[in-house]
Amino acid sequence: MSQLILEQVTVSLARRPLFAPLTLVVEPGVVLSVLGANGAGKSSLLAHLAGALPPALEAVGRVRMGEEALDGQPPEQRRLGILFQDDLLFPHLSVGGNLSFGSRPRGARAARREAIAHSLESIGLAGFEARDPATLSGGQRARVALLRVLLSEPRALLMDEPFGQLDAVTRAQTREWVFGEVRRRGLPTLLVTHDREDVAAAAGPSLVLQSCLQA
Amino acid sequence: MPPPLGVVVWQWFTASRLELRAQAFAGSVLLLAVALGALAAAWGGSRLARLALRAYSESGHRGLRAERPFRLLASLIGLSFTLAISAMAALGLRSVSPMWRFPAVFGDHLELGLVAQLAPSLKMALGSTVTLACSTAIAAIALVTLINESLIDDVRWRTRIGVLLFAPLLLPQLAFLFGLQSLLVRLQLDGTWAAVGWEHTLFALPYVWGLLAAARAQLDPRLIMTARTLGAGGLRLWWAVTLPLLLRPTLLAGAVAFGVSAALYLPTLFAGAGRVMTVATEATSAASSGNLRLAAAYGAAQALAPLTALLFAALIGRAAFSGRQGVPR
Repeated sequence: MSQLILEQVTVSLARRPLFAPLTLVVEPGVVLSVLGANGAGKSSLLAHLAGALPPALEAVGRVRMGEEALDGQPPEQRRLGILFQDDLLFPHLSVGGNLSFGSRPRGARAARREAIAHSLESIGLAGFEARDPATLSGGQRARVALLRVLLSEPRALLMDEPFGQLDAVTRAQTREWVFGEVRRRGLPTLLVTHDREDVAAAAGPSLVLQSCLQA
Repeated sequence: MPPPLGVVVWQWFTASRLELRAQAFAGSVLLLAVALGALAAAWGGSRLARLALRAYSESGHRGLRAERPFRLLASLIGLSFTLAISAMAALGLRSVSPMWRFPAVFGDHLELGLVAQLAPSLKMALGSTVTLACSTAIAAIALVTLINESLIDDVRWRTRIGVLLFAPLLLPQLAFLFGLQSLLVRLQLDGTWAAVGWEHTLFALPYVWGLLAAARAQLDPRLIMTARTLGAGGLRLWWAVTLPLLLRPTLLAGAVAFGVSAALYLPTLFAGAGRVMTVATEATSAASSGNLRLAAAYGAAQALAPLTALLFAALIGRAAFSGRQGVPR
């Protein structure tokens, strides 16, 4: 288990920084909530950490996973999981296909299939392998999306308002399960949100990104 | 009515009096100026239309009565489509009817003799048409896909390349073709299959670009980003995510490129130096030969080729991912 470490990180648009440089350490199993007004650069920060910053934006500072520097690595090598407000399941793959897409190739085909069946069972979707993701409910899709990220064995988790599309009851349940998994697996997690209840349920530190542009 | 400028320039180019050549080149430049003028007029017109449309949409009119003209328009489109299909059927029928005089609804009798007699040369022309059209479709799709994937974030270069690729459609064909031809002759490539394929690809590219670049730009970038954070990069990313999500537009673009290539006459004649025979070149020479049955047989073959390609594209596109409702159509 390593920490996710940011040193003097900021993202700028046309040479103007979006927010004051950030230095922080996210401990394994801790959810750090990131708040801030629209346009403060929260999503850009996550995109930078994932390694997929749009070319119009520029980032400075250092990002590390424990001792390993992530800067310059492409997203596919960083092994950071990302979750958005939309579940973004691949529409052309079955539920099982989505889950095995990111799961690390290990062991025989049958064993992998069994592992996926087992994990589906753990989120109450036993036997859903062949289903079309488009036929699932919002809550089911959200759970499959998180399961897909977890099966890819990320070293840290980045979440951009992941519960925003869910109704109140589903949101509470999903939240509880997600934060439980984060703690159980010891994943350092960054949660971008507008929802005070998210922050409370995350039970971790929080910070407010101050936009430099409005100041 | 005198012939249009393009035809006159063509006659000057092919005239035996060499002093007409200079005139022909001047004519090509004039053609180019006319085309650029038309483009400018179209641009100005679109600005005016934008103003008018904005005034209308801000006026608060409900437009409840707009339905009827639209329905009329739809039936007109349906009518012209029906006409085109029946013309094709008539071509097929004409090619097997040796006698078909004016007032008669059908020919006297049907006879497969001519078609059977034609079969070997028709088969050869069809073979080269299909080979050329398939290579054109593959080359155009590969090129556009490469540009798409390498420049997906660079809007400025995408726009520039888009304008460049549309050049063969926007510029007068005659000027464009003569320019290309002098290049091919200098490289001693005229009359080769490669030259014909290259020229066909140039003419198919704007359509393929129009279809594929738009579809690629509409793909949710977060889907690609998710796939990458899940460990898929490079070829696997394209093969497992981008291509499947763009399969339907890619197939459609391929069918359109196929159709464009199958229909090209002048570029085939020029780049092929008259040595590459396709259904299009044979159909044109058959049409000017005065033999109606011959012309009808080639015409039917030329109409059928792109239709078959479209049909295949539609069938494959429908069969792939048939149980997946979320795949973009």
